[in-house]
Amino acid sequence: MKTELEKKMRIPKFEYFHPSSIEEACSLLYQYKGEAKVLAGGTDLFVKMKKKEIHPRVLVSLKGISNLDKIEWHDKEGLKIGPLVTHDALVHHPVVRERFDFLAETCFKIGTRQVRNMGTLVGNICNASPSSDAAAPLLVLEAKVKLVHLNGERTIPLQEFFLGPFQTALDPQEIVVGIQIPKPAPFTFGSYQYLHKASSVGETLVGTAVLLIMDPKDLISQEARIALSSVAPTPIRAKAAEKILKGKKLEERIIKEAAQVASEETQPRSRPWYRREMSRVLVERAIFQAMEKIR
Amino acid sequence: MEELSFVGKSVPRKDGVEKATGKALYTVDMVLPGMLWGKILRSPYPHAKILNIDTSRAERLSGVKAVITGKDTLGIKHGFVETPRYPPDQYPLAMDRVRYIGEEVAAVAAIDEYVAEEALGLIKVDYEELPAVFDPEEAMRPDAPEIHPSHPKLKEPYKNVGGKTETGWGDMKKGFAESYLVREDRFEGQLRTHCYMEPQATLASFDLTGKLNVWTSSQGPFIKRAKLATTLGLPFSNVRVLKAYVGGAYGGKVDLFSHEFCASLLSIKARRPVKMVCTRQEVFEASRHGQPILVELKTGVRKDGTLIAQQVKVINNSGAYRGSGVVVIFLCWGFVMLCYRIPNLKYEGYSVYTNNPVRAPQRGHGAPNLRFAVESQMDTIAEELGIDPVEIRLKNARQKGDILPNEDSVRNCGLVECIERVARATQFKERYGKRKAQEGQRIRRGIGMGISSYMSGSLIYPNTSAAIVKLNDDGTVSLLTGALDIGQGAETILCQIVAEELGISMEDIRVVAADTETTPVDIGSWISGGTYVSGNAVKIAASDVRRQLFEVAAQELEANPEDLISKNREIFVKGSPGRSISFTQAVAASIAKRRGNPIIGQGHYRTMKEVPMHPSLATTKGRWSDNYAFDAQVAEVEVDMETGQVKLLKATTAHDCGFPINPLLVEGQIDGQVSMAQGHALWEEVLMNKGKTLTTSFLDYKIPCTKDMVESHYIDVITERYEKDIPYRTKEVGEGYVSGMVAAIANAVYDATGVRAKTLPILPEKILMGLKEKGNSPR
Amino acid sequence: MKKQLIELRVNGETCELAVEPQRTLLEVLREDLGLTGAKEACGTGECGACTVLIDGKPILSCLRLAIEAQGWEITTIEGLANGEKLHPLQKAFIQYGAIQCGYCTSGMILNAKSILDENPKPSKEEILKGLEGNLCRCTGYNKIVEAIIEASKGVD
Repeated sequence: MKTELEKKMRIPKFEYFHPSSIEEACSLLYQYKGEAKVLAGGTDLFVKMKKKEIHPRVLVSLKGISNLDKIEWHDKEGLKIGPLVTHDALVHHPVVRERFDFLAETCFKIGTRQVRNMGTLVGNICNASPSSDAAAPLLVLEAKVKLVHLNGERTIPLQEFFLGPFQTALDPQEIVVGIQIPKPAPFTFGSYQYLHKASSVGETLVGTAVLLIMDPKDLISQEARIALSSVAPTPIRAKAAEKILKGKKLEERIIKEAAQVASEETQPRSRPWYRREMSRVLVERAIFQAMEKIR
Repeated sequence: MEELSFVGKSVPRKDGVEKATGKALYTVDMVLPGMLWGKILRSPYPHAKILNIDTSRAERLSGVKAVITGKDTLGIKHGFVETPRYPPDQYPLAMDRVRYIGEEVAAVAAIDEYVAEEALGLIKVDYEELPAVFDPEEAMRPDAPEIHPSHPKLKEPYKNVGGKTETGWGDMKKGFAESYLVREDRFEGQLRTHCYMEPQATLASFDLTGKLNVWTSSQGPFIKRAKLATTLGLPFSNVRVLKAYVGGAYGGKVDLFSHEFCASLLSIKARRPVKMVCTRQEVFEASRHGQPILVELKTGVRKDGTLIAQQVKVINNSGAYRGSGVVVIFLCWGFVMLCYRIPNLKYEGYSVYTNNPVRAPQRGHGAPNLRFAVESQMDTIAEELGIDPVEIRLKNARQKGDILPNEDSVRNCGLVECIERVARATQFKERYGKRKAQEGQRIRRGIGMGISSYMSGSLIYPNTSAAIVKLNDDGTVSLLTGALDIGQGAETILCQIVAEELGISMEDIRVVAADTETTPVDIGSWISGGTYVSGNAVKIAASDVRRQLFEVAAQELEANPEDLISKNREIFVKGSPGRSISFTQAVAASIAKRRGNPIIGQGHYRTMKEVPMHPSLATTKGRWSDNYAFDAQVAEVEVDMETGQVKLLKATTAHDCGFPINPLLVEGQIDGQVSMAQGHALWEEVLMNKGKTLTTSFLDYKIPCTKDMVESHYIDVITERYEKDIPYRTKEVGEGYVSGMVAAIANAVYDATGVRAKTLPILPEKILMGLKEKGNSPR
Repeated sequence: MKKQLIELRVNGETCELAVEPQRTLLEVLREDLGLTGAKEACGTGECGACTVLIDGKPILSCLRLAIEAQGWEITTIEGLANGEKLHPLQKAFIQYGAIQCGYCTSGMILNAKSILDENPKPSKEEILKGLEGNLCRCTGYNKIVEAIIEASKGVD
């Protein structure tokens, strides 16, 4: 049986454009119809190109366009994250740390110090790795993705953006210009728990984000959201498990039940037994950790 | 005894400044004018006949300067060992068959990597696929496809046995009959890989005088020269392998690699320098990984834990060629019999061909997997008998003065002291066996012990190390040594020895190293003999200089040469420090007095001078080494019983290394080996599917990062010392500490969880499944 | 593809170069400027051996295009020492045995420098976390961390 070997390690040649506006960038994507890719941080793109997994003839860099690296907070609309915002910027931004602490914590976990300085949150989402750490918190925060192309724009929920492993709803002629996170309800607490593969930095074996919207008076959850990464072809919400917690008092028995149901909603491809078990364990831990923040 | 100034001191590395400022040149950094880039075309099939190779289109591509295939070579084979029983079996470029995915079939040299890559795509190879086999036990079956039909059948009716070691003593039947307890277990060690940070790389330049100059990332230039010259049909004097800094090797860069041969032959053809650098992916997919061995162990003991009989079967998956597989099955016998006294032993080792990339030594070369097996079983036996792990080891441990079954002596064995001291330092007896007390806890702790031993220098080509020490007119010194520093600090310790012998400073000595043309022969940095063999050669050379210099100094000082001491750049009379001359003055005097006879010192050293050659790999008969290192290691782990994740908290290594020439460097070696043991025991595995490598990057294959750093403690057990004018006997420190620690970690995990790992790595799910089987819930 | 004329500020000096767009900063530093201190051990961003500082921040030069490194202050290991005077980290690495084969050293020291520049007295955990992207196969990291802690104590 024949196997593919020998992939070049230098980045293959391409034509490079450095537009100074989004319109210009969209115009280039339109012009090169599918043969062009957008370049933000480059940490995923260049790895794929070196491994000959993709072969764009043209790269359209966003780095020449101003104001794409902004993190903006609006009291009504919530948080807006531009396409050139790095993980490191999110880790250190005061609004993110205050209002979306578990997102900041997750971004601190992603990659390594060097990768966090280069890689962007939007790039991470567009790469759509099934094991993306950022995806799970963004899913429970019900983030939306804003896409523009030459003739218009659209905003879709993140859940609909992920279509499959490394596949998104992004059209080759579209650019993601922002991720929007709606303002959370008061009394909302989130947590992200994860296990690494082989216990050191790198890919996540199982990642779990939990968001609890609590009743201000007691330990009853008005709504619970659970997302898991690296246990299915895309990052997922564990909807059945969420139903179990909704409107209930968060006691140990019900938390364990929800965790068990969440693990049954997973479809892990490799190391499936262990991933399912760990989904259960981590969902439980994430719920308890989010509850710690209530006090 | 005189107090030493340099030997035994934690002197900073000689090459530290170069490495810390980015000035050290590794092969990957080197460039020569007119340099071409080389690339290799590899087989996509695990087993196939090569029917035809058409390189015409590649040759015509603009920018391509040379293309080679097997037919451009002399068809001369090479091998890790080359003995009558195990003659060389691998072509540097495949001739009529490929036997593993990744085997080298053709190579090109072009003006840049892009053109070279394109040229590879233009080479057309017609294959006829053959049936393949990947598992060694399947490959041994009489109906398995034969990978080397022309090789002798070493163990009928088994097929594909490339190497065999069979030995034993005593009466096995009687031994087991007398045993109070007999245990049989099977252990499997995984395929793991070196992950040296500098990928394999070679720069070859054939010059107009007909000389081939080669810089290559290696573990010793002399074996490379020999194999390159032989396969290329060049005289040794026309092949120069020069020093390059090496970015890690750990056993994976010893013997001849195809890219070294190809870069050389391409350079000869193109008459221009050719550089080949393997990508990390190539290193994972097609380079040599460590030998994965499985061990079947049947052991009989008395009621008090004394070993009576041990029956060992080792099967090694050597890949498609012999590689170092024929050596590892011999070594595993050693690793069985070195640590414990075994009255009755039967040992069989088989190195089996499979259609996988050929394997190589990896730090410990069989010892980690073997000691994991023996030490795990030892703990199990101890538990069944109600004896603690320290006691059972002390009962059976090698003692000072023991004569080994192959007639080697362990006159300076410090094993017992290692066990006692490490047990004391870690409060082993008090902390071991606390599983019951921790029941119900989510996070549990465990402690485990493993012991190991390693030979320090043996006989394999080129068998000997030599050194030259030259005095320069101003009193500075040049040391010429063939020794190669691969990170372990060879140049530094050799320099310390010269400084000690001559009584000068480290700064006064320039080390010229690892150049087959200008430096004398050296055994290389892969036979665990660097400090012992090369060091003694240097010591002899330096003391030769001292003797010659003292003759002159004695005249100047009107004293006897025997009464002189050289220290702090001064030569003075013992007991009369006032009567002295500076070292520089002595050198000047020697120039004047010796009338044109420059002081040049030379020395050579070979382990076991009285023995003609290496012991028999097949029967183990014969002297193996005159020096053995021992260690006892303890691991303390923490296990999350819900996730199965294991954290190695603390590692303590009590080691009998003779004495450390440079304690700081020795500590560094221990730390590095503890880290490798951690990876080996807990995570590392090269995954393969039908000959195809699945783990092809650091993302797939996890080696420890800073967050995995282990608290590492050292206990030096000193069993030797350094004296002037006689060879010293330090022991190796570069390989032996992986195995004891792997075993210790496995035993510690058992102590914490009650789950006995029979295979490595001990992945979290193995622990959880083990707990499930026992009916233990984590909480 | 056509070469572009770019200006890179490396170790305080301005260099004018003509490079094709796909050339990485690592390749240009090593092959065009002869600054071979930054190394490639993987090429895909996992090992950290190619780490250089851009405006003081550590990045992976094997995944950054040279043409996109314009307008920044690039620091390589060759720019760390002040003439013959070694940086305290370089001194500490040598003194405390933090170097064996040396291949990871350049990236390790530069990343460590960026950690100390941000926080002159980092905790051990902060150092471990900060260096998680720099792989070393020789040392087990023990003496590397010790050297950094010692360097952070000294005032030089």
